Amino acid sequence: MIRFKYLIILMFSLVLSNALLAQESESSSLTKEKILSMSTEELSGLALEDLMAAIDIVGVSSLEELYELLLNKDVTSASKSEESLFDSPLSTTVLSHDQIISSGATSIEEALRMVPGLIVREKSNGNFDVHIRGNDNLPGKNMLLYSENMNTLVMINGRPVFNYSHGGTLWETLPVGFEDIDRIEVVRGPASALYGPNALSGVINIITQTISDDSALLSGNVQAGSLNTLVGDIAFRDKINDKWSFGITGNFESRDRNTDEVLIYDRGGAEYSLDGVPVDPGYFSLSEINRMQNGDLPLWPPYQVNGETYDIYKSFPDPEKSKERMGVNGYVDFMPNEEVTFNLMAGHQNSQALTSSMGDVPTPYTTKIASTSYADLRATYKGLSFQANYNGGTIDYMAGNEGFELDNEQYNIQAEYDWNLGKVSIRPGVSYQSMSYDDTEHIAEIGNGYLNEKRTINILAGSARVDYRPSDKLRLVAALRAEQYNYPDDIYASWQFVGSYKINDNNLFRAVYSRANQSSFLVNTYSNYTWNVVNMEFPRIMQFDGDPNHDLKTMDMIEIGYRTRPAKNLLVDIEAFYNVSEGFGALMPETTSLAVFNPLAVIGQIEQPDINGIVNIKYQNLDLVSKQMGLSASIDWVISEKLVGTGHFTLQQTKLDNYLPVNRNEVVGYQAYLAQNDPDLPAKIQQALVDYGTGVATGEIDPTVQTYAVATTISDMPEGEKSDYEHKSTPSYFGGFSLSYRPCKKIEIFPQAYFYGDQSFESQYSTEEIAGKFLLNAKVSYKASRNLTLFVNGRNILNMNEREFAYMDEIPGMVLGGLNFKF
Amino acid sequence: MKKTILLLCVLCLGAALQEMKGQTATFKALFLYNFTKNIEWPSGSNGSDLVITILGDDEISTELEKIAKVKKAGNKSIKVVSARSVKDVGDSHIVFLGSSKSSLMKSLSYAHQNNPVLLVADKDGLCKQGAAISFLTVGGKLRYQISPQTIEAHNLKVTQKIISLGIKVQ
Repeated sequence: MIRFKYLIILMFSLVLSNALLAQESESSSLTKEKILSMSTEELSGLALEDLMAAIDIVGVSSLEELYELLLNKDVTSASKSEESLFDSPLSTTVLSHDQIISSGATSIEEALRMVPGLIVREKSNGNFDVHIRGNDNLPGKNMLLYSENMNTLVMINGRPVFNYSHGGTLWETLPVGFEDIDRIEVVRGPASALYGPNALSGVINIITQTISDDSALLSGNVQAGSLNTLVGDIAFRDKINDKWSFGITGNFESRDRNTDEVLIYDRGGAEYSLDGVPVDPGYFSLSEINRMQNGDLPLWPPYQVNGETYDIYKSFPDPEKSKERMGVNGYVDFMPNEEVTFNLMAGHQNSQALTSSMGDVPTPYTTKIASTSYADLRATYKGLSFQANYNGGTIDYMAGNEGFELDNEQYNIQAEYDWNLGKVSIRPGVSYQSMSYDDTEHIAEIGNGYLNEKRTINILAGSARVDYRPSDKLRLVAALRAEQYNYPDDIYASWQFVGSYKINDNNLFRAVYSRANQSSFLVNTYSNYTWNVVNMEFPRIMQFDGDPNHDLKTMDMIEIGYRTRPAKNLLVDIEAFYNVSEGFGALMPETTSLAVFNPLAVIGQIEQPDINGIVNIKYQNLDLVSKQMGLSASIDWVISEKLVGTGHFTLQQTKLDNYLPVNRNEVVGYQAYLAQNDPDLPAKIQQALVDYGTGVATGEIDPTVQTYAVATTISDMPEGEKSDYEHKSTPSYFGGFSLSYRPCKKIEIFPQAYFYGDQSFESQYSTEEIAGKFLLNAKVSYKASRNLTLFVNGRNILNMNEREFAYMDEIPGMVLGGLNFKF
Repeated sequence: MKKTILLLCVLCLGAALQEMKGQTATFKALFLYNFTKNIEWPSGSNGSDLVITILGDDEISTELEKIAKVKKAGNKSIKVVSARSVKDVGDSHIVFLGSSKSSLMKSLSYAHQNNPVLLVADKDGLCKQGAAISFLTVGGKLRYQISPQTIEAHNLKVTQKIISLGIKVQ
């Protein structure tokens, strides 16, 4: 299969190379020399069109172009208007399209390894965990859901692509490919005052390309290689006239794992057997899992949902495949006159990813399947900007698990006005967000889902940003945003106060104090799910409830930064940060009850009491406080026309206060122990049976609905909160470096490394020690013509295949080959 | 090993210092001069000299001085003035804002919003912040964005040629 793909790519490349070879020899060095020999007087005598023609022949020097591309980037996400990256008042990084392509990154997430302060770990081939500065897996000792990055707001052109159901970003559902992207802007630090909730650790804003006269009509990238990896995209764009432009893009990605087995992990005292033979936790095929038991109960029992069998094969339809996705996007730009612009972008994506689970099942893996569409309209009129968008579709967060498949609709609308008063710019804004999720179409009966109806979170917000420049050197920024939620019924405020002082053109100091908050999520707010446990001995029932009025997580940060350009070809950026997060929450046991599950049979003296547990799990705010301190430094260095180097390094430490290092099962175990050792338990059971019998006799209890009699309920929590506890889910250091070496105009060699230190992942069932890793990639590109580049791309070429994320796949070294084309 | 790394660094630095001086500053200065041929200022702003103020770019100043020595703008001498801050910018026909001073664009634009002056910037996107013309590099070629609306707002007249050769923006 792979060989066939290579053959197609090779043949395609050869055809294109031959067809385009003639175009290579059109430049004339003589003409260039002639122009360079012209005097200032002669040059200034040229008419404008002749001057431009002359400039085009000479071109911008490679070195100056490199300065422009690497060191003089622009950014819009830090202040919501275009500014030089050097002047950005916040910790900001911009990854350009060309940088991404040169690096050989095979996905957006992998490209983010080039951004300072980002810890990026691969879970399975092509599926990544991406965190800004870490602070991940909190609260620990919990479900893998809490390892998802709920602290970073990922956007496409300012449109949030956030999962408001559980929190986090489903990267595989992003509809765009490399050819859509002009640049990726990353702003580190709380930014809710600018972008709304969930921008606690920062924002990642993917900016798509602007269609202009210089846009390639047809462009694309494709690469294929190890693990049946095939990644590609194509774009067709045209500016029809001064008023209208349009574009169509498509992208696809298909990747395999290096195994088709999934891990069954030790869920605290589980007794696994396969075909009656005891087995240890480990990797098993689906067929084996289908035959496994936990004690006397089937490990993965099948059940029916709307006539369909939900079993291990439904949960893992393609266990050998890690990721498969495709996306299509359409762009229409309309500029009716010089004062008004409209940009419409719409698209669709289908995706399937085998990655970490969000729920509590015997394996840490799950398959996420999504089919979503979106439309995003942006309009400007003078200083007024308006954006409205829709994103909706169906996402199955845990295939083959009833209740995790949801239809969703998200609407965002916002308007802002940029009011320039010279030394002061004021940007007031309003926004409204509505996120609805509905599981009713995908459950056999109401009660089997965690929502069981359409549920909505609404956020109405007002904001203002004041940018004051009392002098050319000093800049003071204050941004404030207030958000009114329907749930929790409360107003949350977020802010940014920034001061920057530009000592001279090459040195800038800055300081930031900011606060951001998370939004409420559907699962935290509305959960209402009864799990009748069939594959564990205890408990018999787990009831999950949300809390509509929980507190939202907040992060406060103080940061100082220094940016310097000691030489024209060198940019150094240093940032030191200290942040405090609180308002954490989790679905944690609130009470554990002991109940008689055959009360009528006991009352009738037919059976002995069947006593088992009912656990009420509720979204609860925790006293947990996370305090993180760290430092990031980055360097961009245009060493020569042929050699460019970049590097970044982050050092951080996270300490927890009021951390209760017990998992859900330990809380249940503690409460169950207290209940079972209550000396009054026999009397309480008797009383429960009497009450139940009386209730049935008087008609107050319907025995077909209320099938058990609760004897006792315990709500005590174990003690042992720890403070000043070092949290090690985020490595204490991480970073990367790259070199771009162009020995001649046609060849580029791009070695790139990413590394991180040890980490300790505290999950619900175990603490996983994960060793530090050094990943080395290298891409060698050959520019066959100005339209075509061929390349060989090695990822993890040292074949360091230790797992990067707890319980997830080991990713071996990979070799890919491919091409980029542009006409 | 350390010596080798040190040597490599020194070599790299050496290579960097030996960079060829690019022609871009010359070209931008030529553009500025050429703009004077394609812009008409209101009669009230006429003086004996055509004043071009360069804010924060010594290379462009130097290149423009060379042109000013041999060329006139119509029948006027070209006077090149260097400024370090917005408040240093006096009456000018053209103000060029160097890329390292791009953050001052809004202040500059506001300070001169009613003046018949052509504000030229050196960074992509600054037309949105009040520049009439802004240089950028597209595919290794020097180009300029132009906002006819802003030029008109400053009571200047431009030839159709300068608009059609640029990238028109709002």
